[in-house]
Amino acid sequence: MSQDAIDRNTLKQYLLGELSQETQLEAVEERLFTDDDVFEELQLVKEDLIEQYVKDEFTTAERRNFERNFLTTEERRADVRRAQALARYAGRKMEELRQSQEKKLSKDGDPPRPRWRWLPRRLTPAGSSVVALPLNPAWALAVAVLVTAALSFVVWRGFYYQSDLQRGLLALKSTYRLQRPVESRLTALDYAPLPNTRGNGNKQIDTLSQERAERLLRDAQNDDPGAASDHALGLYYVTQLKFDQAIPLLRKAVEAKPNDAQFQSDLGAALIEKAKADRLNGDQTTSYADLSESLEHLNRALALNPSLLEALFNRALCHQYMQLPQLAADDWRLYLTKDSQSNWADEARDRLKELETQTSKVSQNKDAAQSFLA
Amino acid sequence: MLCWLNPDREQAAHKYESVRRRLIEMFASRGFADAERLADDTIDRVSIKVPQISVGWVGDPLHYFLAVAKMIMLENRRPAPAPLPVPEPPDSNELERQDRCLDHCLELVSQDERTVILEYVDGKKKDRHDQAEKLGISANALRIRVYQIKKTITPCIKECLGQEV
Repeated sequence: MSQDAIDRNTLKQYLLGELSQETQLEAVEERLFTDDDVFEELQLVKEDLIEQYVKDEFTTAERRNFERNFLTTEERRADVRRAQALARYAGRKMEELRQSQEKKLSKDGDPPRPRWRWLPRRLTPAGSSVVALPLNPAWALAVAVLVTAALSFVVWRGFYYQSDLQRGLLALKSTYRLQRPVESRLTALDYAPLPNTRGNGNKQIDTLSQERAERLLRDAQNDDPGAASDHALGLYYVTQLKFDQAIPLLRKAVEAKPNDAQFQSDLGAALIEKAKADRLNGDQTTSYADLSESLEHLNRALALNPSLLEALFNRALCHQYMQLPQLAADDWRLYLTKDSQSNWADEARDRLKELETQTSKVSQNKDAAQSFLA
Repeated sequence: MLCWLNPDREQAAHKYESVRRRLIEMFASRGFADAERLADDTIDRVSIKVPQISVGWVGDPLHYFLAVAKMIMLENRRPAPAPLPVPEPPDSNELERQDRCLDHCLELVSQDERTVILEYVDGKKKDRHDQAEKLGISANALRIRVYQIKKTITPCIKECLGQEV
């Protein structure tokens, strides 16, 4: 099995032009010519690479090597174009399938629609889809009442109505108005300080609002499934520190709407919080992987919307946890150019100051060590 | 030359095609844009030499093809990688044409296979693990299954769309 893995990786390197020594290249080519299994595996690896390219799953270096060293022939380029067509087609078909399943589910759950049998024949002349004006004054009054009611409904729906999703998010905001649940910034929450406690300190959260938020956001996801409700319920789970439930939902939302900067930022935030939890559990590798993925989403969010303060705040934090103080300090400075007044800005200033103090201490220690060694 | 590859005519034709594909892959992977032409050059040169070398040749003839291909590679300086042309995004007519072709070509496989390939192509890496689990097979087995399905539909797609997708 491990031999397979080595072979697959070698073939990948071969196709991406990452094998530099002639002896390595010749060894691969010798096997390609003499071993049918290796040749067949090469075809599979080619397919994998094309899929990865089409789905933008490559690192920058891999993408560059793929374009420079793999897309050498017109045939290979045509392979990529066919893969792009198939990916687009599959995306559309799967979306149609999902929608039809959702429709079917909602149809099964809906009560039967009422049939408006009480309307008199005079109002709906045979063969006409347009309702004829009633001649009878009593019917005119009835229609006027109906129109007024319909207009009132439109006004109410437009100005006062709140969906479960909106009410759920408001309840979530209200839950954490005194104390925020996580260090990162979530787009749904306003500023609140972090709890300044160690161990089991008093939590200043509104538990009634919390229960309400959970109920409403679950309902929203059931009754009106989609990226917005996945995102909202995902945020709820982040506030509960249930990252294994939060991250798949936030990922789903991002996959459905990859150009939503807020979705990208919130997924980045969730991954930072998970990375911190992993680190506390001693899992440094996963923690670093989470931070790397977080950084990708935060960069994407900022590419989509450079003014998104949540994403900028989170990226500064992410750089800090990745032990990249210089980049973190740059981000905090950038943040302060965009927001210098809010409570978030005060926090950013404190963090920047702390970083600058640390950096100056390190440089003093370095100087001392150098003068000692000199 | 076919006889040298295999005394059985059908087997020989199969082997010829297999050699050609290998040569094309090799030249393409070494950065030659005209990989097909170089593969054909290799085969031409080998076929000229066959009467001299086939008598007393021990082992798989593929080794000889490989050696000639190496010489051709040395003779042809590897060109600088050509800049990738920016692909024109397909217009709505082209998208419709692609969809029609894919609708048609996916008819060549069963409904189950269609679902497998569409779900696989639409999914991300993690989704594919879930898909394999759902099907009760390993991720690698799923990868091979999708490859086989693609092998079935690709000639049809190529023919329907032409090389210029």
